Amino acid sequence: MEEIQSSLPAPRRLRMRRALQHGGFIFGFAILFVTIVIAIFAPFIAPHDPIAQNLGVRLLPPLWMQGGRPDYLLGTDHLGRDYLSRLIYGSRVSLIVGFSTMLIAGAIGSALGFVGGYYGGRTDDIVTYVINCRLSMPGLLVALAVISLVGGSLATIILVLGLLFWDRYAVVVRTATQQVRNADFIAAARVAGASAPWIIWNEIRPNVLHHILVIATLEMAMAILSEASLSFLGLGIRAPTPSWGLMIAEGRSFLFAKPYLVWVPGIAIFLLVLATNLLGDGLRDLSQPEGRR
Amino acid sequence: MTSLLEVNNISLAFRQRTGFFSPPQLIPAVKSVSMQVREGEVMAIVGESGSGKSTLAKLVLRLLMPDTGSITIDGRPSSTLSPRDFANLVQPVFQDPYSSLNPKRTLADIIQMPLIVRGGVSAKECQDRARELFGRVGLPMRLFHTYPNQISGGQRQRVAIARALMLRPKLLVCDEPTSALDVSVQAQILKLFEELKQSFGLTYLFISHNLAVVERIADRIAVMYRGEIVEQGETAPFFAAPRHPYSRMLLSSVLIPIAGRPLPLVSRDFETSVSCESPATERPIVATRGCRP
Repeated sequence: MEEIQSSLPAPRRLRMRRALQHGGFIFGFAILFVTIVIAIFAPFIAPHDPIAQNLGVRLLPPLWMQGGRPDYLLGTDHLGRDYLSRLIYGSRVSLIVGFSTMLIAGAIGSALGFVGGYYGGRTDDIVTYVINCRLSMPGLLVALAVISLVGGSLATIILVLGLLFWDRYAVVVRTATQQVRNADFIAAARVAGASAPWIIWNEIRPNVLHHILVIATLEMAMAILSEASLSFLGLGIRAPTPSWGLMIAEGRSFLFAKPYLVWVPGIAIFLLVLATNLLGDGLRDLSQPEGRR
Repeated sequence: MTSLLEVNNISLAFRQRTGFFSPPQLIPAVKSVSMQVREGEVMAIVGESGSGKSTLAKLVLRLLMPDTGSITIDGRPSSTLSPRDFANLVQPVFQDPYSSLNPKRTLADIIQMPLIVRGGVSAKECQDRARELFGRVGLPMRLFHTYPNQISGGQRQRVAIARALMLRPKLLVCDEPTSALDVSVQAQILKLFEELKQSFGLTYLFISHNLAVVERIADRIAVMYRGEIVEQGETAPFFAAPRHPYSRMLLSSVLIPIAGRPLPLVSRDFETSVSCESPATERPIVATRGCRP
């Protein structure tokens, strides 16, 4: 392999170069990366225990406001818990929900899309019917109903969101598969005796992967928002576990007196969702052909 | 010489639905075609667009199943062969070298595909064989790990040929392998086909609408018109004295670059001699329309 040092630039390297020139991609990637690092190393970064109450320091404002204290950078909530620590630990919930939902929904949706798109005919009719059934249900409403029946927890949220929001993966993967299915390289693989799963995995998947990646990031943002909404409505993460949606819900009653209780986690959600969306847009732009098939 | 490929009375009609409630319409693509391809010869199928040449190729490749009739390969009924045995005997070279190579895989992967699917050899052996074929079809080794979009159409077709030879098949089914290439490249690819035939002891079923190509490469010719073989015979006598009126029309429609020679006047007299009872005959035929100024 080493003797043939190709004189042509490898597409991978070209793509890397283009990625580094894409502002949105860099911004999204940077924020997501920092959030992931913060979430993983939360116990080392957080200055206080996120659930330890200290009623002596209730409702302290952030440092830069009047009455702020340097040991509570973002102030404290109505139970005297350090807001920065809660924000740091809250990122864990958002990311876990985002990634897990993405994986579950992505697996279900892509599998359906591949099968429907590749086999066509009756199989495709069934897949299309299932997708239509899903599309006719109002997603978040069903999630609300199920979670209020089963009871909210991290696992339920992930499962419910994952089992609901696979529709976009299925629709896009199915269409993309249909476009590739009739190509001659698929016929060549069939003549070579390759099985349908082999063809889907080895010949079709590489051609559809960039679509899946783009949807995955957009859907991850969607899942993060859904978790925040559910927690805000009191159906998601149970107190005292810190979750950004729950933080907004708890700060709501102090909205006029202490607005930072709402906008601090609000900005965190905004930034994370913005970052994943920008990353998704960036991936979409970078996977555009631009003279490359 | 024994016959490697025997096609007996094979027919296929496509079903086309014109409306939701109307019964499907049958469009015969191949009508009771019989022919033999002897071991070591080049059998050419010629005919205008829509005459059923490519459908016949797909039937031989088992990409389509015939309605009636049977195909025998190397003395065994084709339909009873396992995918593996079939792949060891017959391999395809397709018309469009852009559609026949997976854009997301390297040339090395593409060429190795049939052997990877079949299995039974080590990764090292597989790559060695791919490398050897890569050189045999006249590709520079520095391209071995590049992607299809980085090479030209002629080079792509060489890759497709190398892939077809990976399993050392006896029969290559070439569906217009040169028609997507420009004339100088066509000549090189034809030369390559001739060389490979000698060194690998190959038999070709060579489908083309280019009579100049066929005259050069074919030992025998079958002329297809509206799904039927209207004439078959040795190449030289065919070009000297075609018997069927359609063959004569086909030959007279060839443009020969002689100064002062006008466009050929194509007689449609033969139409009356061909029975016209199938729905397919009602359709205007692209090539014959194209023959008129």
